[in-house]
Amino acid sequence: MTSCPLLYSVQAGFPSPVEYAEKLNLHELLVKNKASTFFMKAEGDSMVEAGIFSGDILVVDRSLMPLSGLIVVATVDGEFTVKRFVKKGRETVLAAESAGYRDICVSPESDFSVFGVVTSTVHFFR
Amino acid sequence: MKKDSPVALIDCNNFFASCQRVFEPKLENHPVAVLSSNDGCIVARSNEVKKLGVPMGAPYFKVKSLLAENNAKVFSSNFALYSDMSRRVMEVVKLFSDEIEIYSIDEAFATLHNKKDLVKTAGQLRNTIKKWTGIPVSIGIGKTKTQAKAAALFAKSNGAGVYELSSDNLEVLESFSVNDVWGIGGGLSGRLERRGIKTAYQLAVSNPAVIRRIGGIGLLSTALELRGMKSRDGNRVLVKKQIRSSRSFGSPIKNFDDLAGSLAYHCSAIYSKMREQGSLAGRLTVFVKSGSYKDQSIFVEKKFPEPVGDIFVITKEVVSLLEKIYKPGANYIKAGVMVADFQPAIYFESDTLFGPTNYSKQLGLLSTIDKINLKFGSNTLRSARMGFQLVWESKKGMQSPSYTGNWAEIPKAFCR
Repeated sequence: MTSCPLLYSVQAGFPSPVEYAEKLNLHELLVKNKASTFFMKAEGDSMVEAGIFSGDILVVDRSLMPLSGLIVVATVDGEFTVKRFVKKGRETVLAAESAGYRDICVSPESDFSVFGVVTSTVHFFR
Repeated sequence: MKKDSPVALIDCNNFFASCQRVFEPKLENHPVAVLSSNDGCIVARSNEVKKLGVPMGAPYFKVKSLLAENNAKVFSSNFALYSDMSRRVMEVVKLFSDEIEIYSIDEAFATLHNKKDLVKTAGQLRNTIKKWTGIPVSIGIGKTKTQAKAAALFAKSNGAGVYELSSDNLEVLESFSVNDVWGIGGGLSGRLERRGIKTAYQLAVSNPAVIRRIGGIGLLSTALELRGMKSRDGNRVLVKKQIRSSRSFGSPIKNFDDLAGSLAYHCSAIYSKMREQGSLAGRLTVFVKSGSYKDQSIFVEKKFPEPVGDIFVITKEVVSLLEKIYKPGANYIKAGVMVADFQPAIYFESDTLFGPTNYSKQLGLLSTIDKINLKFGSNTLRSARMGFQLVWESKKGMQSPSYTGNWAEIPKAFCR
């Protein structure tokens, strides 16, 4: 007689709650669009007032339209920078959030593009 | 693919180079080249590098100074990055299609939604891929896969980005040689050219009987498909799931070098079949059978994180695997090699050393171990008697960070 592995026991009555619990998945929470979401690491203090600290992981979504007021990762002079995207009429400004850091006025000729919109960050306290 | 639907081919432009550019925006209009594993030869070139006259597959040492003079940025290949970016591109394609067939790391056939205006849909798909992933692609549309492939080639070369080939505009095929047509290799294109059929257009409009005489029903199918008639669309060569080569020895072999030599022969045989079907292998198995009273067959397997298509790499790995199972004093009566877990190949590195054909003949002139020592430095491989040590290691000096695969290597965004 061969042995048969015990897969699960069938009980009468209500199933145990453990069978129905789903694990909370942080990745699912943060990444809405798997094709267009990238992680970046913030370096520097210019966005502290916005709640972004040096060392934070940025969740950046390329599929979202940069709207005025949103925080974006922009490519400026070949580098990724974190700024608040601000549209004032026809003018676009990439604004830093702390005093002492410059705003960048963007003109059609300037070498700038938006990499993606920062949708959330992960900040480590420890 | 559904029988009557038009087919689109989505083909990433200079894929590996484009992947690198997404994370280094400074490189946008800059010459960028990517090298094969071991930094042996060029496997990807940005348009700027193409303009310098650097051919695909050029050995790196030959073009190194030309690239340096032009300030080209050269990268070692980073398969983890390219696989992830490929996944992203394919996810976008899926959103726009009923059916998708991923053909290689940077190409997919798809039947797009909205049959009413395919060029418009393809344009939207192309823009979406560029926005969401940063990868530029070209899309060709046709009634058959062969047509779609030709259309994509045209879209790429004329910069339009999207092109639909149909019976109304077949003349654009005049700008391509028959060699550019999917499924037509060196031998066949030579035969066609000798008969005066030099361009893809000529192939499409030539007399079917003539075509059939030159290259049989396979070539005729290709020509008809180019014209838009579905015959036998799809893979030309039956792709096997695994390839093996093994042999029983006339008299038992005890010596490690002799056993390794026999396995090297099998590597050669396997490699030609891999090349024929256009595959890279993800898994390698070596087995030996000793003729003791127990008559045991021992095997050892290795999975490659990056699929391999280089005969030297395969042979080196086989010898290294043999070392794990070889027992001095045993009488070996059979040995063999098997490869599996195939992926379509973009390029075969060994071609640059010996040319695309007859490498196995040339390999026969020297023992494989000699050749490995020649290529990588003497005493790279030594026999088990002397203490087996593999000195050779994968050179990847210029690999970019694993931007999407390693938390320590994700791109930095400056807050300043």
